[in-house]
Amino acid sequence: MFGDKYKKDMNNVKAPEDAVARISDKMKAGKPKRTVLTRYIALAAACIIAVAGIAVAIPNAENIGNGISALLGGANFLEIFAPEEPAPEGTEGFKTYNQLCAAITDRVNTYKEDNYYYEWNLGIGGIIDEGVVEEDVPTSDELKGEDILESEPETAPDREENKDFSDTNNQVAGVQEADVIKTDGKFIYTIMKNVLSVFSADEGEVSLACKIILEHECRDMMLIGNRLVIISKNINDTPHYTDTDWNTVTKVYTYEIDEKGKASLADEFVQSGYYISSRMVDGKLILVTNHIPEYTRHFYEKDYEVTRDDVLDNLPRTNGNDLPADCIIVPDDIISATFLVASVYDGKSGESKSTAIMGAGTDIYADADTLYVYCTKYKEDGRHTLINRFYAKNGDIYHTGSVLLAGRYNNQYSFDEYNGNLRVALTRNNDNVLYVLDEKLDIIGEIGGMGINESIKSVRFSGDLAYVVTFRQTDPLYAIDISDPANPVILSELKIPGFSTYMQSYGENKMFGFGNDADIETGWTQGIKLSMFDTTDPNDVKEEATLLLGENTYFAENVLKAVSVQYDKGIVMFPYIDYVNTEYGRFSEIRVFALYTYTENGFTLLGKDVVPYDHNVANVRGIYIGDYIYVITLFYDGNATVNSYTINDLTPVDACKN
Amino acid sequence: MERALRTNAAIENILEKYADTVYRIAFARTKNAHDAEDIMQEVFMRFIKRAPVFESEEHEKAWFIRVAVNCSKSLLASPWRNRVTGDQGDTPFFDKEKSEVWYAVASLPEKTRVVIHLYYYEDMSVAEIASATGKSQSAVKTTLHRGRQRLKEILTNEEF
Repeated sequence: MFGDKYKKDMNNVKAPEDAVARISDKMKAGKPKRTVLTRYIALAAACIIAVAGIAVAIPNAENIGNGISALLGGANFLEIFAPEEPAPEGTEGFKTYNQLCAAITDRVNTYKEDNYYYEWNLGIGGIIDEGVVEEDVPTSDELKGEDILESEPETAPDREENKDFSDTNNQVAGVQEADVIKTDGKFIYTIMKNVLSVFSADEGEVSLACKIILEHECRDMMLIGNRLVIISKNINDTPHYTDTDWNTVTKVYTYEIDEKGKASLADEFVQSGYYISSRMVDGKLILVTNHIPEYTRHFYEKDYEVTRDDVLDNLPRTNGNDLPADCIIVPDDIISATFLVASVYDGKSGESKSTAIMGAGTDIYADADTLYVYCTKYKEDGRHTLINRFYAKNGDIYHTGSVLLAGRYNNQYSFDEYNGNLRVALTRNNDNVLYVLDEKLDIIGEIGGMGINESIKSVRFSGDLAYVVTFRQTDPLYAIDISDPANPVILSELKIPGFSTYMQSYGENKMFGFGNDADIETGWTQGIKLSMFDTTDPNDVKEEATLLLGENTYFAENVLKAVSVQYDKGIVMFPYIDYVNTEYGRFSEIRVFALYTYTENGFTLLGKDVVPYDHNVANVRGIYIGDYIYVITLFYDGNATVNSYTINDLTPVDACKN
Repeated sequence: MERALRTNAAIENILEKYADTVYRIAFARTKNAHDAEDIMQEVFMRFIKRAPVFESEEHEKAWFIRVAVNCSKSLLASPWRNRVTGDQGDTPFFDKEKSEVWYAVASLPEKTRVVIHLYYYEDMSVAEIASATGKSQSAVKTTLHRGRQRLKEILTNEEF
């Protein structure tokens, strides 16, 4: 009989003993008692850190984190180690999934009831800022020596002893930002669509070392030693797929690169949610995502009640495992029914640690040990910026406070931490304001009155000074002294036509500005403008030199990544788009890669490379290695080309495609 | 029944009772020892998390079977699967010579394999399979019928 024989065959199939033992351990660890202890030990650690004076703040945002402050403020060590303690009423410290899910279910249903008429769209409400996510992804290279790291700064290149190549433009030295192009001085790595390409670059000669088709499309990349950490685009298997759909996950691939540039997959890491941003500190990836639970799709159904099982099935996960109950924070008042998930992942060991808080983020700012995730919250009196702060260092990550500030941010450069204070420049209704916050995230200083009825276009902090550009018709560049955090003072205001969208210090006493020219009367923008400001005397900032590229020029890429300002080499390079007359008398769009040098005579063109317009071109980027410039063109279909040139006059040397 | 597990002994007990059952369903679906382990872990972790209350022993078993079927379904196609370490398609349990019946079942589509497994190994009725897989009884009947047809073609000398 078939049935008997099948049974006989299947009787051979037995759950492996080692697997059962492992699961048994996991199950026992998942029981309440053990979790309680882990939780309290974590709390104790947090308290010790607080005693030691390292930033652990008691959140003071409206209704957010009252429970945390109750816990941190009220706990003594006897209480902390008490083995059985009822769950705190507040926002975190959940011992079991039961308690956690009860809290989440409660908040989600309240939120749904309050918001379903106008914010039914996936429960993310007003969190998604149009354009902000796209505009602000990262980068810059200066401030070195000002942001001092406690630990050895990690740099991508172990390969070259004398670093003579351009790095990704990082906002904070030692904190690597992700990009689609990386180099270690020997190889050039590119990622586009699902294609990873490794080019070998040797004294201007370029050859393809390796090309790998990845499982999913990818969008960002980090380089540490011989490891590439690649971050996927949002992966989703639901039929109605959009970036902000439910059940989206972000996947990270760690590839090891051998001496010949061959890449091999070493590890993978998966995290719930769509990708917000990432950083790399001490070789560990900090990954931030927004997780949209599937039950939010029912938010437009008035009578739908989110159940405990809904919540349990949709908790934030990493590598397929739910985050521990005590790592998930549920504020009393949530700004959205989604989860902000942050992990520290070590591609070398495969280890990771994660935390989540109900809410969302649109972008991040991070230094060596602190991660700030911010988003906009709409209120009746205008836009506010909600900041969630995390401690992220040595493979650990946990939430350390939240604050809500009036005003809206421009991008990651609107934030800066210096001497334990967080400085934030925001556009608040018809004014612009700079806040200084202490370690508890309390506002200790603030100054407004900059550019009334204008909005912030760019910000650059430089130690005790801040430079803020606002714009409506002209570009006031404000220099602000923050050496006394409680009393910021505006030192000077320089009015020039146009405005800078990105600023970077250039050597000791100069500030480079990249932006747009504008008509003084109308405020209409008129093509790309490069400026060099003399900041020797912050009381009297001068525009030392300018360069206008023509009124039909515009910038098509993320300025923060594509503009490369290399003080050591005295060069500025960037791609842009121009319109030219064709023989048929019509305008035609071309892509230009331009290389300038800056001397006391101002900006001087060293060379240009024109790429005929192709709608398939995604990025044109320039990097330098030694005495050569490599211009990398990435196409949306995954193709990539690398052209090499001499650095002094942009004479073509070699070319290669993947 | 008592509210399930809270002691280590209870955990050992529940694993002893259901680890093989769950693992076999997962294996029948995936044909892969590595994936079956992952699914087994997921099922038992859900048990811990949800701490379900059972009315009877049958209810308890039905819960494990249903969750095992669900997890097998969802975990397989998911991006959560880690592809770096998983060695694919190993079947350490069978001997190509002796396990003719298994290899015949293994050639069926994965959904059919699960239904066949529940019917012939777990001796479940069509109604029970329907409730465990979330399908209608007629759909289960059709699947079962097609599976048998296909098996008859392969195992020509076998009685069903």
